[in-house]
Amino acid sequence: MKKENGPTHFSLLSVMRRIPLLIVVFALVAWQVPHRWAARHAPDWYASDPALVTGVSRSVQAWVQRDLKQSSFNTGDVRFDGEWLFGTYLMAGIGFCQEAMLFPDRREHLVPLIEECVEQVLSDEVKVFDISAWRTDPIETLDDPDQHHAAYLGYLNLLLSVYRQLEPKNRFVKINDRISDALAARMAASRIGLIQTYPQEVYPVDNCAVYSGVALRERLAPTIHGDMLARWKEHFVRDYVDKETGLLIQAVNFRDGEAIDDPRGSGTTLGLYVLSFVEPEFSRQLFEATRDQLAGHFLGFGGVREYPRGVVGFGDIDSGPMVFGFGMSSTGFSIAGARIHKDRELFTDLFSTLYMCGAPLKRKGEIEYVSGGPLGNAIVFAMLTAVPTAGGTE
Amino acid sequence: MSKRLAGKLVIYVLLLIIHWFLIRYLADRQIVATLFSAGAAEHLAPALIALGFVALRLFLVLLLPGLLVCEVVNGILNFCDKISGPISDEA
Repeated sequence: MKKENGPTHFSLLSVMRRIPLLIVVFALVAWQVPHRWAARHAPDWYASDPALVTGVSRSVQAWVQRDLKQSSFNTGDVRFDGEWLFGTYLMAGIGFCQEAMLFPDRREHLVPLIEECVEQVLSDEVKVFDISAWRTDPIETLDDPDQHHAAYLGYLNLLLSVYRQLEPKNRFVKINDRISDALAARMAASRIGLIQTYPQEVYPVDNCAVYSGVALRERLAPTIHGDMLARWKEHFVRDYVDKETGLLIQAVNFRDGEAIDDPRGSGTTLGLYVLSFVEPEFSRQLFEATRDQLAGHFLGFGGVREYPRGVVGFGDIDSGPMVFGFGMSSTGFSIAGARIHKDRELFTDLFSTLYMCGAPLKRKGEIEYVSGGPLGNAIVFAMLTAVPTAGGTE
Repeated sequence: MSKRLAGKLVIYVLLLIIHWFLIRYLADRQIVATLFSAGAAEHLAPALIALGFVALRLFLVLLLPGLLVCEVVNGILNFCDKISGPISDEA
């Protein structure tokens, strides 16, 4: 309303009256718009859009065909640099297998890439991190029951078994059999049911990979390990899944199997992914515990906490950087869980975070997650191509 | 459109262009990956560039849409004030 005797400028009071309105408008937009924009490709990814899968696959292909070395990584620790090099080829190989399962017409193109990844994982350059820790070669000591090498052999064997599922008569079948038999013997001989990743270090999540690789090979080419695997699973669920939260315990004492770390997101979410290849129901239970105990939002962006609510913990090399309690690893690995167990809503929320933090760049037919580097892109590829379980509903 | 609003929009567009170039520069040099590893202290300069990129991306994605809408709402309110005339402090 015009005041005849009022000042001709807009008064301070008038501006002050606007501030609450503008704050509300700003908050509303920040809460509703960015995460929806960041998630705009989520439906296409959820439906395994061929063009998107090809884009990320090409980017990962470019990485694995480069001359990667331990020195390509800068974690500050030689062992972790080696683990990241190993993880890059491992996740890339599994991702290519999954892509071939989703798009059988691409198999001919993908098989050489998968085999290149397996060859790289078997190379001295890659396995040196494990040799340094154990002071023995994991392949040359397959007949020695005391040389566990759970992580290197377990994840390698999972890749070999998944590849065997795709190509039953591939040239790595013999090494797949040898590793599976060696790991099965070590699992059966262990007093605590678990085998060691590095000397005196035991992680249940790595044993999920051990179990999954051996059990998948057992399913493809049955031997004598069926009963042992059934007993092992029962023992594992009883002793290494936290009764209160349903999450996997992160680390246990190598002597008595007592928990020496909390149940955590990074271990549980990677565990449910590797178990999904052979134990979809157990994988679902872990996924549901993850969703109930760890999943959350910030401004509509989905995240998965590293520790259950109420537990204060710090980030480490397993969790990756943590923001407001949400872990980078647990959030990333959960993308696969949401795809595998057909949780469209959680997938969309997590994808928006991946888009925001991963900074995907599309050019020359490749989609590269700029903040990922070789390992990050290989993991994202494997997570975004994880194969949904047969049956079930959303 | 006031000169002030036009100036702000020019700054926003410039930031988007900087982001567009920076994401390509970082992809070519693989700098951001350095930030996420514990050894980033060995590579302080690239880590700072990467940190700047992350801050810019957070600003562009999380804050910019809200700021733009606020500018529009503020512009509409100014326009309404102009039509109805200024309101004095006595009101």
